[in-house]
Amino acid sequence: MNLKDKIDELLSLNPFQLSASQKKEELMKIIKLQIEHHLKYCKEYKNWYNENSFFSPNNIKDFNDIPFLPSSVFKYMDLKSIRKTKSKIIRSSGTSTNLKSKIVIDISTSVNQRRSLSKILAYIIGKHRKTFYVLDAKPSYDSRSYEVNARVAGMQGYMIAAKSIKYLLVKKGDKLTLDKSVFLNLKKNSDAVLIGYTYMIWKHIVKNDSFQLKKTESLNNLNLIHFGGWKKLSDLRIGKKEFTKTIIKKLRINIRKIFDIYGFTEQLGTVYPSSGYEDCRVSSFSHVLVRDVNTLKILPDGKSGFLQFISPLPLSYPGFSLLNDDVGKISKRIKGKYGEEDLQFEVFPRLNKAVSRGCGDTLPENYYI
Amino acid sequence: MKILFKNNTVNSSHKNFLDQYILKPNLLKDITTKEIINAMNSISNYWISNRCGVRHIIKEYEIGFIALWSKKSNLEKLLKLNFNHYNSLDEPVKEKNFGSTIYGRPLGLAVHWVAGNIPLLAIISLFQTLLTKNRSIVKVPKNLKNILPEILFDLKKNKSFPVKTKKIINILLESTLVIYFEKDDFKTQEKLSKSADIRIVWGGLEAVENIIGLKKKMNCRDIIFGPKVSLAYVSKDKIKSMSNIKKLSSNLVNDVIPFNQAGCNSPHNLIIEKATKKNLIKIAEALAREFNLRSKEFYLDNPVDKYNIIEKKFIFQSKKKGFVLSGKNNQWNIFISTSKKITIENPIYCRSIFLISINQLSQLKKILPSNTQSMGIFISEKKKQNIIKFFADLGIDRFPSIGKMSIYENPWDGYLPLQQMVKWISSN
Repeated sequence: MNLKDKIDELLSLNPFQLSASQKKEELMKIIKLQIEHHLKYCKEYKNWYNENSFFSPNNIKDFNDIPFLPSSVFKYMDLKSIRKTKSKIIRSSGTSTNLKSKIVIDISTSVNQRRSLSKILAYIIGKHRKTFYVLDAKPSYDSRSYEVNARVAGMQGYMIAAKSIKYLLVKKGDKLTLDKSVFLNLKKNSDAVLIGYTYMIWKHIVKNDSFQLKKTESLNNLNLIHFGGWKKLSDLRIGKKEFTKTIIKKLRINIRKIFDIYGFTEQLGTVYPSSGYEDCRVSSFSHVLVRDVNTLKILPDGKSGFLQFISPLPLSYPGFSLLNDDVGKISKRIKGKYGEEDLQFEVFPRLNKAVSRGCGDTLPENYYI
Repeated sequence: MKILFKNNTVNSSHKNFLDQYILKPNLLKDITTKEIINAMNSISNYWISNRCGVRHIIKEYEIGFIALWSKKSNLEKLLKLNFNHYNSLDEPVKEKNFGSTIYGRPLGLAVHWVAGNIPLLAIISLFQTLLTKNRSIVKVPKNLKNILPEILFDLKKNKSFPVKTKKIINILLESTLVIYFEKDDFKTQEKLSKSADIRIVWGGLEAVENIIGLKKKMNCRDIIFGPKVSLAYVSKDKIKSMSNIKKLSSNLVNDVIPFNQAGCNSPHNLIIEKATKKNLIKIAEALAREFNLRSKEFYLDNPVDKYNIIEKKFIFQSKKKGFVLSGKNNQWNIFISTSKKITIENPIYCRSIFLISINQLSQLKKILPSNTQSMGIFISEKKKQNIIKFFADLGIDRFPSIGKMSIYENPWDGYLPLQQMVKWISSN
């Protein structure tokens, strides 16, 4: 079976069905083929692989052995594993360095991403399609465009599970304001999804007096999906618990229907949903490891370090095993009711990128005390 | 806002205490420079002795140099370099050559904003303003906020100093306030700035820009030690013998290891004149041997830096820019550039050095960072003058020998800092 077939086979499964050992077996087969694929099609990956004493793909026995790239390299290099074929470029939002990742997505990778995402979404909000109320203005972009920014691309991916899409905000000059008619419509729709970037939810729902329910109203059946990270809210010293509590109070929403989704541009499709106050859950379509920030060795559960993400989806760029500068820890690893793996991790606020530092140190040649 | 060190106990809120401290008279004016030197020398002896109550701090934060820096001989040298006759700081002195009388007086209140990377800075910065009889407030960074207060409290508690010395030390301590407040405490930040007669700022670009943008007294002097980088240069005649290469490696590692390479005087690029690929590899191997001998088993490095190393290694290796030699767990890293394109790489810290070869000095003209502070040199005497002239014109401030780059000395960043801390009174 070739790489694409193997990925197809994996993506045909229930995303939270496999036991830890079954998942490992399935993912390891794919990852070995992934390494061979990128060694063949990505010159830079091959150069790097050959310069280091990594195991050859066939000798890789464990997740720990899988070489990883720092995900930040996509900000500095064009890394692709395709020859001339139709592809799109996704650019991430600028982080602390203001540089954007450039990810080349071909049709196969895009299909993998959509399948994975739709399966994970269907698992959390149900297979039945719903109206999606997007907490943003309708994007004005050309679908034929070669480059798409990550804010649009990130949101676009989720729309795969939508029966219809309504935008809750309208652009008035430079400002975004609430579209009251759409808000009224949302209140009437008992089985819907409200979706938006975490910071936008805070700004346009929590901090917006127009977004107010009457005393008798509640959005108990509404699913709330938010994503995009916590950097801006951490700056305001607002954590997940406070965010969730405030949202429950304001929307009168069921805690189990609030989903914070962790994911990143360099591995679109394999997302990690967390429900209520819980941490991010790892599906059967991917795996997460935690590495010591100094030694890069695998850490036991509960210890914090860099997060390594293994995703079988990317074919057009070598992003199947990435080390993020996000620091986190494995917070739960148990066997579920039916033997399925329940693996969860927690992410801490993002590290600040180093910049040129302040001055001065002093040490004589015969320094000792 | 938190007052971390205050010599007097005042029953008032911290806010009031700061206001009161700012208005206090300057007791340092009434003691002589010699008395201050002698007191600092006694402190130095105490820090080196077994009686020292903060040995653990001095060891942990690698600040032992302060004991050597505050020796009488060093302080006298420093004062002479800055003022020629430093007794003019104590009384009006007739200047023989011009016939006029000059008298150096402290400017008043010095406020120090200290960077988080090098703990030693806080003490050196403070001692320099006290030496010139300026009362001082030190705003310490969060990660170092307990170090300076503990060191000063230890001096306050110590009973082994002779009575006269203790009296002077007490005046020095009474003239010092250590303070910490959060970044967003703009009110305190501005109060300090407006009260300062000298603002001494050590830090990265953002911190420096924030502070220099604050309101200040019209005659306040700014001494800015902003973000700088350093590199090292070796001429081709110095890499001919293996003994020289060994010497170079040992000396360069002296400059790279301290303070996790965080000081602006630590080299990050080693530029070698007309080195072949074979030469570069030989030097890299000698450096690797030296790093292996001298590196500690474990360093508590900043995770961001460790991540940047992995990132840089990937970029370097995948683009085939050259080779990388690394220690266990990337405890040290040598990037050997074999690319035809000459590049000065940005610091990535954690004992990492980039080796490049150039054919002509002029190749560096366009790529030398504009904020280069030190260029460590390992060159023959006959070339020294020309090389210093060439690079000084490009803005470099210091040319220490490789191996001595990390020694704090005057001038620093182009300043003779003590000179900026006094005003001159004259009479003809």
